[in-house]
Amino acid sequence: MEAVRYERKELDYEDLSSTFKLVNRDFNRQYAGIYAVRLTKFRTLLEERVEKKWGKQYPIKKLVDLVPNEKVFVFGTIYKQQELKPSILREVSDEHQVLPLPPKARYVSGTDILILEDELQRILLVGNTNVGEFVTGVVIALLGHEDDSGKFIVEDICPADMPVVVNSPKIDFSTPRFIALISGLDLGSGNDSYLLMQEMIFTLMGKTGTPEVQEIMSKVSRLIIAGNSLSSATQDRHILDKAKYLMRNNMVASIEAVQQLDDIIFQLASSITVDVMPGAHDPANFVLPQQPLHHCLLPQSYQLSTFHTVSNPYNCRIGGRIVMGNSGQPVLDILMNSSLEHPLDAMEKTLEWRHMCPTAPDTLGCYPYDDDDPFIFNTCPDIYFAGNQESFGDRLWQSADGHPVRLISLPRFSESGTIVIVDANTLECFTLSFGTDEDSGVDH
Amino acid sequence: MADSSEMNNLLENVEQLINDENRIVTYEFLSQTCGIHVNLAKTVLGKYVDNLKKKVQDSSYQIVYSLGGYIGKNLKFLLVRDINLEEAKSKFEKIISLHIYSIQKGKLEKFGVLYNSNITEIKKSIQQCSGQAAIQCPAAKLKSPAELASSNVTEVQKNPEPVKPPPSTLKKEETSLDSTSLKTEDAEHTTQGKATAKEKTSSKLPATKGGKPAIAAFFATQQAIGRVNPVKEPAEKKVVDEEPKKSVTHKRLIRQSSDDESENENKDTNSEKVKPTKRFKLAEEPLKSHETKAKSKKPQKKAKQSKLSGKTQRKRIQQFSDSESNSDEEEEVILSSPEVPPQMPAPMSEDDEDVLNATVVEPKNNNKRSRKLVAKTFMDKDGYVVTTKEYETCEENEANENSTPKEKTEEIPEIETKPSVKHPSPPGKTKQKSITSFFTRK
Repeated sequence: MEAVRYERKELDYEDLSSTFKLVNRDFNRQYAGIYAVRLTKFRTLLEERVEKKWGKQYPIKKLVDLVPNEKVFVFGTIYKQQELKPSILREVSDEHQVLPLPPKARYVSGTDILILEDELQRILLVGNTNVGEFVTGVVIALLGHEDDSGKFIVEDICPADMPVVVNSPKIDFSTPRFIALISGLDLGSGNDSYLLMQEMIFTLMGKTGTPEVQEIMSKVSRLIIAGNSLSSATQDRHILDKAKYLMRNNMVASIEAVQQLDDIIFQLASSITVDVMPGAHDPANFVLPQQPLHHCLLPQSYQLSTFHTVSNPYNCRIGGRIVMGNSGQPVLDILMNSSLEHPLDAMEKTLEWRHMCPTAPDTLGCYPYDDDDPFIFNTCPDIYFAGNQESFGDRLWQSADGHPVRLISLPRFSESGTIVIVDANTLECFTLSFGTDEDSGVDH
Repeated sequence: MADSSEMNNLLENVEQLINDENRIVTYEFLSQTCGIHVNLAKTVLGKYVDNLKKKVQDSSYQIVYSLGGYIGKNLKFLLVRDINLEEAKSKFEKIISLHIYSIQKGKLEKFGVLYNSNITEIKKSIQQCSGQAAIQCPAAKLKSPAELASSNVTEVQKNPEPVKPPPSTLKKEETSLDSTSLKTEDAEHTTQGKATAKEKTSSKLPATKGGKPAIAAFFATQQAIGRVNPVKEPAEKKVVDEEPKKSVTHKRLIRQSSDDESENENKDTNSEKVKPTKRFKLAEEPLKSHETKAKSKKPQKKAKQSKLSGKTQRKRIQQFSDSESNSDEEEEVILSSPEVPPQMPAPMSEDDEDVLNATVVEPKNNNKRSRKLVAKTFMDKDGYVVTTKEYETCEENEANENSTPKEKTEEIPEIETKPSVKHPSPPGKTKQKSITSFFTRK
């Protein structure tokens, strides 16, 4: 076997996540602002889309101006009334001292109803709606009419869909360039898959395998770690319930895990550019957008120029391709509040709705913006990923204007031993999985 | 590629590592220890295995292969033991990589151990991490000091607070503990039997500022309550000054106090220790002032008390909890204390416990906060006009001047003390004596 040395190919890179960075953090506001600005922003987007789809044959009206049996377009924010959704008000008003029910996996039922809200009023939606597919917070355009009983009979639905891709940057297709995506290292979970992690590191670094493998790996120019590098076991939720003097000498579980992460990332970053996104279990803020991990957490890795901490959601341009993604919370939340089954379906919907996490701030933590909604897609991504999903999946989705988007749902590495590699030229992707002959669970 | 002599050297190394040191030799381990390229290490291992097979030795060696290939369009890498190799190969559609991962003597039960056998040292540099790998990343560099510094500066400016050590509003117990003795203190809480000895040692340690926020908060609330202890501040200072002598007096004192206190009291739990302290302060304050008044104290004694302040806090609390739970006993103490010199040991131990208590409350390094003696006149329920002297917290740095006035004030005519004794006792009498007493018939 030859002692070859390949050089890691670099790709142009531009961080587009500045909209997700919080400048001034004012948590005293309420959430009315973000809904208001969302509706205003979508109004212009939807007007465009409606005109493109149906022309100007029907008037656009606000809910207050509705006249029964007149066919019109209305715009508004969907509110989905879910019987099963936990409500603190209901819990408080409930006088029965029954034990709380175990949390449900899903908060949808057949009795859910859709309500459309605009600035002034709301109206019940009936007719051609697929209730299960919608979630609260989506802004859409509807074609239909109000009936005599004051309900809105929906005939057709028009989501905002993705923006038109204006200037596709020139892409150099001559060399294959890969981007590696990984999520859910889940360090500190107790049953750590260190060996698989080590194999993954060695493979990406070009230690494992024959020169043939090493050559493939040398084309991987960037690694994105999409959240949950630490496991939920490192979060001690009871810490606030205990008296401080009882646990002052307790070591926080996350310390060791963060040190391991530092070590892992240092090894990786010595050979490849690494972007680390925070996830639901990482030591970052809870609400979206999660801010980049503080570099003091990873002092060793921070010394390397190839190491970057980035926000969640993350948006960047790598080698001319716009890569956008999150650590999975929006997708999991949509799955919980809709009848959609697969993460890719939910991701597809978010692209259609043109909003990355419509359920924020309803069922998903979100910073109380009052003049902006950064989760509205301003550009159409080429690669759109969501971390920490049940299994790997990929799909090519076409926007209304025919722009292809590669959707990728990333599996948790700790469970699957799998990372995903995307070809930035062709948008094709494949998995790279690691295992041993003693476990069959990693079989993909 | 290595020439034959080098190859032989490496093979010898492998031989040694496997047979003499009984190690699991992985290619990564070999590459790191011998400083050779990973692919060369794989070749060496391959040769070594070939040689082994030629010798037709016993099958006590376990070889693990790294197998990589395509399943569909997806790549998969497996670590496979030699016995399972053929079976594993059949799962792949196209094999693109097969090399030896590790050799070892004996059987590999768990793959987990391979992880540790790859780690030779904690890697601190890029060269160590990826120097022997087949891919080099020219982009990976250490950031320049300026780059690091700039971001550090901005960070520091953003959060100056977290860097600071916790505020030094700590109890005597804490302050007397060195930061290294924190562990000791903790153990002390859990293992009561050793508590006395440990406290002795810990009290000898120089006072430091390190402390735990939780306890500090606890005591801060006590201070907020406004309870005051005399002599606290001076005592504290003397503790520091007279440290050498302290250990001697400690032992004596502990013996003395053990006369008064039953053995089982010493075994009080930690939690009891904490809570009674608070109650002691609230309820016991008048009593204490009475005692100090009743006995005319001499400066020497004071010095002694201060020395004693290092004594275990626990004892005092035990005594207190005893007296509080049993109001009769409390009265006994009160009655006996004015009377007699012979009983000196008992009051003394109590006194020094008061001192202890005082020092506990007082933040050691906070010189500005001190106690002032204030005369308060009021009419008690028996119709006596009572003048009591009480200490109140003030913010000036008068601790040293106060010490002399205090001595004087303590020599108050005994007549006055009696009403003052009565005053504190009513709350004690009305107190529920035991949990069952509430249900008894009156």
